[in-house]
Order: sequence, then structure tokens, then C-alpha cells
Amino acid sequence: MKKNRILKTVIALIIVLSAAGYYAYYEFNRKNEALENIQPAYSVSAVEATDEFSKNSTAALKKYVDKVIEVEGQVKNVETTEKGDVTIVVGEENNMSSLRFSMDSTETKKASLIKIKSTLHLKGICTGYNADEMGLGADILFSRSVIIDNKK
Amino acid sequence: MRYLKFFLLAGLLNIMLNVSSAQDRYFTKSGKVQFDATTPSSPEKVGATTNALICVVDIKTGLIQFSIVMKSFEFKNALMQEHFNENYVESNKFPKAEFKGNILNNTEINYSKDGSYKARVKGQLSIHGVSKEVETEGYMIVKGGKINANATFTAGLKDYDIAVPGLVADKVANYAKISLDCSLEPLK
Repeated sequence: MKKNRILKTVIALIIVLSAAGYYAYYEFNRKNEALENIQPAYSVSAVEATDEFSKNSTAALKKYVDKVIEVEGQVKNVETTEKGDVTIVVGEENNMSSLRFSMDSTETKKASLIKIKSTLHLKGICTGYNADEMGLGADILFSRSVIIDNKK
Repeated sequence: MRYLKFFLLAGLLNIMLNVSSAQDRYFTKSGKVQFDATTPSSPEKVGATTNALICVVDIKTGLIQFSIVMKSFEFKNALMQEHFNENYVESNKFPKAEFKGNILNNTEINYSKDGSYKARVKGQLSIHGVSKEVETEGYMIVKGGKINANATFTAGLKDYDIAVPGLVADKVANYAKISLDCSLEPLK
């Protein structure tokens, strides 16, 4: 009986330690999850988002930062670096403020074909806000962004 | 009266000649920053990249400013990114890193002529709520009306109150190598 109890305890310990070890290995090697599979916390238009940040950037940041946000808006610009990284700039044409979506590396080919003035539906993780401190217009920043659909 | 008009005109002319116009300013909002704090013994890279650097240069005065939202740095490893934001740079408390300074040898750079010009830059670098004066060298590469500004320098993590836990001291270096690369266009 005593031997049985010891055996069961050892087996339970092995199971717990194996599970802990697997969890540690998984966490250590975890990559960022692709946004295609993640439901957005909010769905807004570019105009709504810009208004919200300009009225109260502290409250807006608290609401949106670190969350997946789905946005629909007009493309103002598509910026491509020499290394092929793409940023899609969305917002109202005559407004210096914009939403800047740094595209996920898997989306750069698709993103580089997006036309200016087309209406785009995309989502990204909100990473922050640059108020207009240098006379360049304010920007809401997103990273790891993916395109949902594009109305030309 | 004549003298008054003369001085007013001279004063106005003086202001016009010395105030920088928007055409003197070059900028980008998608500059690249990479940092690397990997020790030689680390089995994996400890570093990240962002393409969200804002840079403004006034080619007339030599004033140069950078700003980065810390959460825009992307790591290959999700846990590393979380630790960077939550424990190292505390990006919720200190959302940005900023630099404001001057190009010390600005008059030696001919922004109207294509070429590669060494630039000595000095100013205040603010990371994690700590500001320090830094001086470094970089390059301003003028080509076809655009300017590429790039520089590489090191920053001590302790200098900016960024503590490296003993548990990861064999992976995370005490110094980070930081590289900036910006393609600047005239501000219209």
C-alpha cells in the first residue's frame, strides 16, 4: 500500500514537472500570433479614431493601446523602405493626422499594391500615439498589421 | 520717419533671412531603428526593429530631432517583447524615446550637392525617463533632393536605469548597439 502511494506520487510529480517543462519551453519559444486569427477588440473608422485621439489622447490610448483594432479608412499613402517594409497611411485627405499601419512581413507584397485613395479595411495592434509636437501632424500607430479587404 | 522705415525694413529682412522656412526642414515618419543587446554567449538574438521612427532635420540650423514609440519595437520572440515592454523599458510609464540636438558641423554639409557627409551630432537622449547628453557620428547622404541620415552608436542600459536581471545576464548585454536609418524628404 505504501509502495503504491509512493509510486502514484512519483508519477504525479513526473506529470506535473513534464507539464511545467513543456509550458516553459512553449513560452520561451512563443512567436507573436498572426493577427488574421485574432478577433479585434474594437472596430472603428479612421475618422472616428482620429477624433477620439484628438479630443482626449490619454483616454483613447488607454482604450486602444496593446489591442487589436480593426479600421476602415481611405489610403493616404503607401510607404516602402529600401528593405521592403511597408507602412500604409490611412486617414482623411485634408487632415494632417493619420493612422499609420506598419504591415506584417507576410503582407508586404499585398500591401505594396494598395492604391492611394482606395478604401481599405485592415487591422493591427495599436502601439501608441504621436501628438503633433513637431508640426508633422498627429499619428496613431499600429504594428503587425494585416489587410482584411480593399475596396478600390 | 525715413529712418524708421529703413530700420523696420532692415528688421523684417533680418527676420526673413534667419527664420527657417518649411523647405529647410526634412522629415520622415518611417525611419528604421534596430537595437541589439545580445551577449556573445546568448543562444538567441536579443534585439528588435521598428519602422516608426520620426526624424526631423533643419538643414539651415542643424537642429535634429528623433522620436520613437517604444511599443513599436518588434521582436521575433513574443515573451522577449513582453519583458522588454513590461520590465525593461516600462513602456506604459515611458512610452517614447527621444533625442533633441544639433549637427555640430552642419556648415560643412552641402545639402545642395549629392554626396556622403560625416555628421557629428550632440544632444539630449531620453530613454526610460532618463535624459543624458550624447555625442556621436553619423552620415548625411544627399542624393536627388533627398537625404539619408544614418548612425550607429551604443547606449549603456544602466545609464538609463534599465536593470538587467541576474537570471538573464548571460543573454542580455549591458550595452545596446543602436542603428538608425532614415530617408528624409523635404517638409512641404
